[in-house]
Amino acid sequence: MARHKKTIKGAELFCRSLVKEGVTYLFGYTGGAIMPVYDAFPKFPQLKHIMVRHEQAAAFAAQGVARASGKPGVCIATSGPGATNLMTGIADAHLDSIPIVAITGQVATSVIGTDAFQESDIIGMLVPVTKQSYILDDPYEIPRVVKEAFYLANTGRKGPVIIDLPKDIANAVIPDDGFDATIRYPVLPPPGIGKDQVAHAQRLMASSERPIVFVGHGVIQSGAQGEVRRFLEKSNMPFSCTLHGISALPGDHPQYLGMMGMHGTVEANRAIENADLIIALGMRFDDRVTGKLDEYAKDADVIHVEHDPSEINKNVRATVPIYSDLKPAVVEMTKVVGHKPYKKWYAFAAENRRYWEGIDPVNQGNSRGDKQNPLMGTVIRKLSDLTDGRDNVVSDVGQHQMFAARYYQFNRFNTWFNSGGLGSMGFSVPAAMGVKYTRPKERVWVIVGDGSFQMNIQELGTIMEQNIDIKILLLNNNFLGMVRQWQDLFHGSRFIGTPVKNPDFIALASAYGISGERVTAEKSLEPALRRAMKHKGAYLVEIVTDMDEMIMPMIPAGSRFSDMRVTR
Amino acid sequence: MRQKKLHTILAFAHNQPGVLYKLLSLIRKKRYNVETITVGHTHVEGISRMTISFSHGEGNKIEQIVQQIAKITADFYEQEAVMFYLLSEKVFIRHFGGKK
Ligand SMILES: Cc1ncc(C[n+]2csc(CCOP(=O)(O)OP(=O)(O)O)c2C)c(N)n1
Repeated sequence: MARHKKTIKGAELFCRSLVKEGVTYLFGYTGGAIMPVYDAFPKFPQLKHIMVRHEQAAAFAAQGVARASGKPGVCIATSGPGATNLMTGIADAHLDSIPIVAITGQVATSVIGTDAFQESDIIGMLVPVTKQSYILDDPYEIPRVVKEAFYLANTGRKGPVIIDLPKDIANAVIPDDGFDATIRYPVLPPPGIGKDQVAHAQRLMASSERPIVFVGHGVIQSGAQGEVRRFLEKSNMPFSCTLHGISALPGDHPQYLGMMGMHGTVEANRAIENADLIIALGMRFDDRVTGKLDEYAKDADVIHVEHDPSEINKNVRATVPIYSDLKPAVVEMTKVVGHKPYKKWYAFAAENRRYWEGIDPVNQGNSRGDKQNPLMGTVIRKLSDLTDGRDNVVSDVGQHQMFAARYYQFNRFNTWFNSGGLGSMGFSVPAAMGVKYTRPKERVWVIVGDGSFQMNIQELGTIMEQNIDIKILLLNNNFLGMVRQWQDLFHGSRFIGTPVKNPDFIALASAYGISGERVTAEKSLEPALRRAMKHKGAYLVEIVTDMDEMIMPMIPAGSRFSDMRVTR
Repeated sequence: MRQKKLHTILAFAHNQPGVLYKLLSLIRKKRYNVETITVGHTHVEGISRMTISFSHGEGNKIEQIVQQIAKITADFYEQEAVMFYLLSEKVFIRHFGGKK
């Protein structure tokens, strides 16, 4: 009697490996080279494929899953144009350290390198913006490569990993045993904080009169918010968040000075300018945070805790460089830090806050001249009040993003999602889809400008097909507002390439079966937002805002903190 | 013309397609110029040795690229201990442990 060995197809082995990694949602778009994998999906009901309308959106949706769940999100595309369409979303994940696994079909191994139909050297193109990349040229390697890809994406400093799967490997039929899925290159944990460093930090903290703690994306990604909060409350030091640190700790915390950097609050930036000690936790001193480096926080010693050593001493030299995971380092520092009232220091911050509140247009009543359009800041503040700062907010890129960061009071952990490093317009709608799949019971808002909305507007099709319940708040100033602001301030108000002739967005949404309404006066704002909140299913609220509104304060790119502008 | 500073890096990595490309891509991204490059086998099977010298304008940013190259090559290391350091100036020495 012949003994029949069980066999398996490469594509099925691939899907089975994805299931083992706990994958539920894959966002993608099919095509010739990836078809074998799609063909295997019905055998794996645990895998739910969401067909998007453009591969870029698949990469952003995968990011939405990753940002909301802390686990790798997955996107999948065919070879050639499918793969190249993923690139922006992957580059974005790289700069924001978001764990995603991108799967691309590839032409058969026999024709790789011959400019075959729909061949693109996607690995070659993505090397600078991926953490690791694999081309599968042996079906036996599938289980190990998939396992390693998920492991690397989500270990240490997180980031995107790509797996390129040639069609013949996906179609190969092999005996279903003898796989070795051992991870070849385990990542070593950082060395952690040393005794000398604790002692040095202790001395600096003990003598500091004007300290400030920086809360970065790392605090959210490592789940160190509890440890950081204990450190802050024991020491009574004020803190400020980076754009991605927002929502790590409650926005109403009494020690919170608001966001730092180019569009940060007056109180945070003035505190940084005058600080004698900066304790930077899980952040990388991006140029939007520092402005002119030579003049940055000149009087401050810097204690920098980072788990990626290439970020330490990159832009700002650390007095105490601590190459460590956040939690253990913060715990050690908490043990040795003392409590101080910092009376004068907090009084200084309060004075700066009052100063800004006195000139903030949002506090000036809303209308300028005879215009009745609501201000962006007013809209966001209203949304924040109505939702008690507890909803998920996914923003796009532009003025509306900075207004959302500044005027929504994030009171719940990890509820703020946006593209910071790459600043990719088109991020919000697809990313919000991923957030919604991850948190189906929670409300998810998209905050988007008219320019950004049209960069992935085709995803209204996905929202329609899948009944994805996201609320879209479109702040329509009929301009590429953020660029207009720069033109206004630095280019003699020459508005070149920034006015936008827009479609009827409400009619467009309705073509996709999505309800919505347009708001032009402040008095209609609250009822519209309430209707959006009550509505079952996706809803579009378009708010017509003034094109000449500016997000202030602003530290112009490459300038000193003392050059901060507070009015136009 | 600005005085260019020459740096030499010795790195060990797995002998696999794409490793050298990754290193050079990083050097190119920073707009440093490769002056010489030698790649060959080591006595350990499957491990290659690369000596790369490159020049760039300012001397103070070298630490970052060293750390970044260390990150790349680290992905490929599993041998008991592999050294990685700068030959021209002793900025940084690091050992990558194996599985233990
Ligand atoms: C893909 C992409 N292209 C161009 C830019 C440059 N850019 C940054 S903000 C911005 C304007 C955004 O306009 P809009 O979405 O209408 O938002 P607003 O600033 O008006 O709130 C542009 C063009 C970018 N960030 N991303």
